[in-house]
Amino acid sequence: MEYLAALNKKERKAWEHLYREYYASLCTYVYRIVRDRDSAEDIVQDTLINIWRSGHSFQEGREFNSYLYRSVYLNSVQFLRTRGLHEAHLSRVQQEFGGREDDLAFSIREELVRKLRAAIDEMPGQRGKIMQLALEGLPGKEIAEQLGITIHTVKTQKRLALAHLRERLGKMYFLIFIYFPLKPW
Amino acid sequence: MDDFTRVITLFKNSYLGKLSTSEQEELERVLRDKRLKEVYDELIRHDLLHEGIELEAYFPWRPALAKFKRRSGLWQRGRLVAASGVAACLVLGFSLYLLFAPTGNATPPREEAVIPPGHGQALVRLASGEVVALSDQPAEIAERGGTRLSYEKGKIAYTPGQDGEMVENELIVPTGGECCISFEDGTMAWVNADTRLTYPVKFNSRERVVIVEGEVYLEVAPDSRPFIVRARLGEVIATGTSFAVRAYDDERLSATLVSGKIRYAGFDREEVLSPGEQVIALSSGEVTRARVDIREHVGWKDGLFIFNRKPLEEIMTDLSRWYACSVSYGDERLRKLPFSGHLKRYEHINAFLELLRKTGEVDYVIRENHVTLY
Repeated sequence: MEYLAALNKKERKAWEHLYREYYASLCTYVYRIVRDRDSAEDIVQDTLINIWRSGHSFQEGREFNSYLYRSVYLNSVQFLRTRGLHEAHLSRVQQEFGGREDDLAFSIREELVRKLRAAIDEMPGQRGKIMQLALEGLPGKEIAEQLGITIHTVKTQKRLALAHLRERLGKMYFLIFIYFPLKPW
Repeated sequence: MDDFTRVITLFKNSYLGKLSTSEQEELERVLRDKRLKEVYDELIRHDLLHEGIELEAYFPWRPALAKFKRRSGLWQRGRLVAASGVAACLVLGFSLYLLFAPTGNATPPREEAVIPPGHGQALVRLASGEVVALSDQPAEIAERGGTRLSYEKGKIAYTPGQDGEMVENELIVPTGGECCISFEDGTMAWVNADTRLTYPVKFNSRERVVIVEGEVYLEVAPDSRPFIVRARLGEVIATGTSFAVRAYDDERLSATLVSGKIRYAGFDREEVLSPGEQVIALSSGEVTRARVDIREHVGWKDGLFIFNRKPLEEIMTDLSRWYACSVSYGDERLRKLPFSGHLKRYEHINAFLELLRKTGEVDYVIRENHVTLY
């Protein structure tokens, strides 16, 4: 597991990759529990910092995945507890979210979102922007106006963006990180 | 292959329209699980793609990574932090006190030195060669030929005398200064920091010519004589109009037209501008004309800095003129980072730097008149 080895050795690129790939997903997960955006970011940040400081060594991808979600989950619950949240609420949170990070559907979902996001993130500037606007349901003409480019460019870039996305996904991009950490970063 | 890998492969192939017949059947079996069916539907409807895009907007990872680098010391290339057994158990989230104690993770507030904004100040070199400093005190100066120069509150006004003698003055506005000037024909000029402007105290009967090295905004009084701004990389010719000329160095000249009409002439080229357009001339001889957001180029005259996806280095070059400070970068990559925003020109530079700090991308230290960004 090249990637995890690099992460364990605290290599800069590996940790940058961790943020690019996981940060937003972890934040969303925590946000669903604590319902506060700033706190969600703080919790994720503190958790990652502590993993860094701990020097914890990860052995395999799946463990790494659930470890991340498990850690932020525990910190979220503790956060609610220090906020004086009533035990009844807490147990509801625990029922709803506790252990979900091991749930198959949940982890598949998170993984898909993460990979799609990464594929978009990789698109060169204008192409990514066009893709974003197109997905927001803006017609090509308005995208062209908003970005000050021709409708022809919009069409070309959209086609290239989709091709790019498919290519990335087609190359088992979904799985690269967890199972085939060849060279995604 | 375990369930996780298999299901993702099936979903992916389905999304890409590449399922074989046997895989199709397998997928149908998988989708009997209600929760997996939900996820699959979300994927096919592009909901997951949307979510991926939105996540990026809600929880941008780049500033978070910058913060992480600062706290972890990762910024210093190759530096490793020793692992400790005690810390290891913190990871799992049992280190609650440390994590959430009020002082546990907050960056301690830092007292920064303050760099105040520029203000009205200038030097005028009179025809005699004498240099007069103008700042807080009003002044009245009799120039040769009967022309009078009066100064008050950052504004110079010329009153023409009877005599027709051609007398030149030079206005020197230092870094950290600005000055407004009212010429004898009624034309107004706002002169930005770090600029030199040379002009006759009384224009001749054919043309009105000023020479600029720096940045100036002009509201030209209508008159039959053309008004010409000369700079190293060409000249800008106007009749009655409002425009800005920026020509700080040998590399680049820009002229932005607010109203009326101007013409740029240089490198054997001529460009006629309509309001809202800008011409840029480079020392290479390249001359381009484009439509721009004029506020970005003339906002300074109304006390605003406006920038739109401008690289940090360019923003700091402007600010260093106004705040009379120098700037260095702890990380060269910061130079190219683009920022957008509006800023009040009459605030301390710290107001801007605090905003930068809040983005999480950049932090700063001030020592006397030097700003270090890192």
